[in-house]
Amino acid sequence: MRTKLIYNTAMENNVKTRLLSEVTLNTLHRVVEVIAPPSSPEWTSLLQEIGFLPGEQVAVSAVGMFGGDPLVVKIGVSSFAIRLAEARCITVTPIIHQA
Amino acid sequence: MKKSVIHFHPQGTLIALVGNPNCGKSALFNLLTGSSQKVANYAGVTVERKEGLLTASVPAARAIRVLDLPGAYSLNPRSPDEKVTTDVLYGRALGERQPDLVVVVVDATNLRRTLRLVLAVKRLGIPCVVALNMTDVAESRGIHVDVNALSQALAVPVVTTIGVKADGEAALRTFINAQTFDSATGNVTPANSPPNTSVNTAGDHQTIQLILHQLGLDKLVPHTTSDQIDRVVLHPLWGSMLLLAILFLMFQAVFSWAAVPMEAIKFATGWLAEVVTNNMADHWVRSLIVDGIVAGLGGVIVFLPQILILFFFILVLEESGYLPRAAFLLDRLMGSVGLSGRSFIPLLSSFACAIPGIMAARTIANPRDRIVTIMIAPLMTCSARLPVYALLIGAFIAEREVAGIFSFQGLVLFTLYLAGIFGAMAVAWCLKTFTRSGRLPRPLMMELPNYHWPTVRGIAIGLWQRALIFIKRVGGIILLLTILLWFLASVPGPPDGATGAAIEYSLAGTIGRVLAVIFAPIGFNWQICIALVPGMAAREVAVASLGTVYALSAAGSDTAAALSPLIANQWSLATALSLLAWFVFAPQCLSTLATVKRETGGWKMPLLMAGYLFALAYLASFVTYRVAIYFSQ
Repeated sequence: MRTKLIYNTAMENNVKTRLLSEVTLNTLHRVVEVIAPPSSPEWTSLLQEIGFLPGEQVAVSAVGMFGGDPLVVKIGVSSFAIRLAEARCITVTPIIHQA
Repeated sequence: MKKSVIHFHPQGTLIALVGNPNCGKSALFNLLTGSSQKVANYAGVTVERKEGLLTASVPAARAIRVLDLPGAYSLNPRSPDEKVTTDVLYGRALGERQPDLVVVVVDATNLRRTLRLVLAVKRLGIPCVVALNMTDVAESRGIHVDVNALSQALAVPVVTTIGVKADGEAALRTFINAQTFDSATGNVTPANSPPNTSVNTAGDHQTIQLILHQLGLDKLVPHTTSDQIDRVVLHPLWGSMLLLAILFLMFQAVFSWAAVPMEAIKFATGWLAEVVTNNMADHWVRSLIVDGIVAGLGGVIVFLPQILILFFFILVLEESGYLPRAAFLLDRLMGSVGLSGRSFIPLLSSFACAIPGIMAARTIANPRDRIVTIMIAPLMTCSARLPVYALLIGAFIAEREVAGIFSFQGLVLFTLYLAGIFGAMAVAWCLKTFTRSGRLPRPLMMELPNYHWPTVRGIAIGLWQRALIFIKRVGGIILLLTILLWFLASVPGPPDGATGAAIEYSLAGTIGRVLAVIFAPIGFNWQICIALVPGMAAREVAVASLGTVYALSAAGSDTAAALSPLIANQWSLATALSLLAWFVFAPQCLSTLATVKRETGGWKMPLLMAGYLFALAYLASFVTYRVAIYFSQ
């Protein structure tokens, strides 16, 4: 499966992954995995249902004025406003553009 | 006692529309059902239930009910609205049977996300059809969907629709008419084995990736216009300034644009009173018409232009897709008092009226945030307070220009709105600080839909409905209370040889003098106290009541004359300011309290609300009155 491949490559080849809360504005990333904090386990499915699934393209397109919270995230072709706490649940890896 | 629920299923076929939020489902519903829509609530819950009959069904005798279910991202509900959708589809909603056919509306520009719902519905085992909506937008952005291939891949019939175009539903209608439904039983037999409903988001995702790959649709086509607009609108600095400018323009417009139509309405009421006075003998009926009905209703209807301008702005912001952006910009601010940006939309609606605002709070998934939003919604300055503010500002605040462009009266009005907002923030902050639930982390996860040009038709329908509701209120409850007040203010008549105005001897005068004892510390005279009583039913009635009270006090003079110069002469500035402060906070609306009772399912919240608002209003008026007296000495 294509998505599975991306997921595995990122994990096994130790390609640099980071949290969505830490990426620079307007750079394309791909979702690697979604892990909710133990205090709110339901966040995993909530985030997955709005499109945060392994392999999906994601970019942060705006951040709030105070402390960069909340963020506007483009996931696929949709835009969602999420908070830093939710962005910290999402592991991503940068998409390297081929020339 | 728990009420038993009777399961009554109307005969005929039931079709349900489901889809993600913002997929154009409601527009499609409007096309399918035309004017045959009924809006009610689902049994036991307060989620709005929209049902209609399919127009032009074939054969014509066949009645097909169409149900517009609340938008949902999945069948794993995250709000009371989404729960209704899930319950209906599973056939476990009270008073509603499982549909015979489910139309899953998907956004052709965003199949990646919307197709997951199709797979989930398919697993339920109910017959379903996919309505590929917004195909016009998709085509214009170069997204060509092969309908046959999609249908084959999903193993579900697919038809294309355009919800915003007349006849855009034709293909779906043809499909429905071609179906034979087993409506003899009126019920779908529940499957013996429970349908396979295990949530498998990742597996579905892979299936959809595969389908999109087969169809050559796995390339992302972003909505560039929306992205470009968002670069400004969501910018931390420019976006915030834009939001402030929009809100400020809104409140300036309420005062300046409405001036001409308001003058026209005032002129018309004055003329009407004069005609009646000149053509009728001096009789109690004339007094009822001139002092009661014309003075009372005229005083309220004059504010229709301002209310419509306010609603116009809210409707335009709502239709264009700007409101969720505003909620994003304000999320941190709301978060500081323990709420989320989601509370912004119900609170903004509350500026028009607290009742739709309180009902809109249903979209807030978190129960605690929802209750807090409901509790502070009446602090937002609703349009019914506008007549009172407008009257007092017009009478006591001299009109002049500030910095060459702003109207000083507009600035004062803006300040009153701010007072309500800060009051609400303070209450929410207290609830956050003093309750444990206020400090738990809660997710935001709010979609920012693509921008749309608001349609003239949509705005016009919205304004027309609002105008109608307002006029019905004027003609109904306000008229009734105005007449009642006129009666109380006229009976019993003054004794022979009385020196004061007739109203001082009436029932209303007596009530007013009793209440005046309570309200004297905050500067209210007995005329104000009388007006406050019917004002409980609807705030704007307070103005009508003052109109009636003063019309009857002014013995014999030109009664329907404007109220504003009259009170400007009789009240001190401190009293006027105190009354303004009172109206910022006071729980002066029984329909709001009734709505809160319905939405929260008990008397606890409405009683709590009335109590804290009353205390807050008294305190605010007391401080305002004392400070104003101190400075005017």
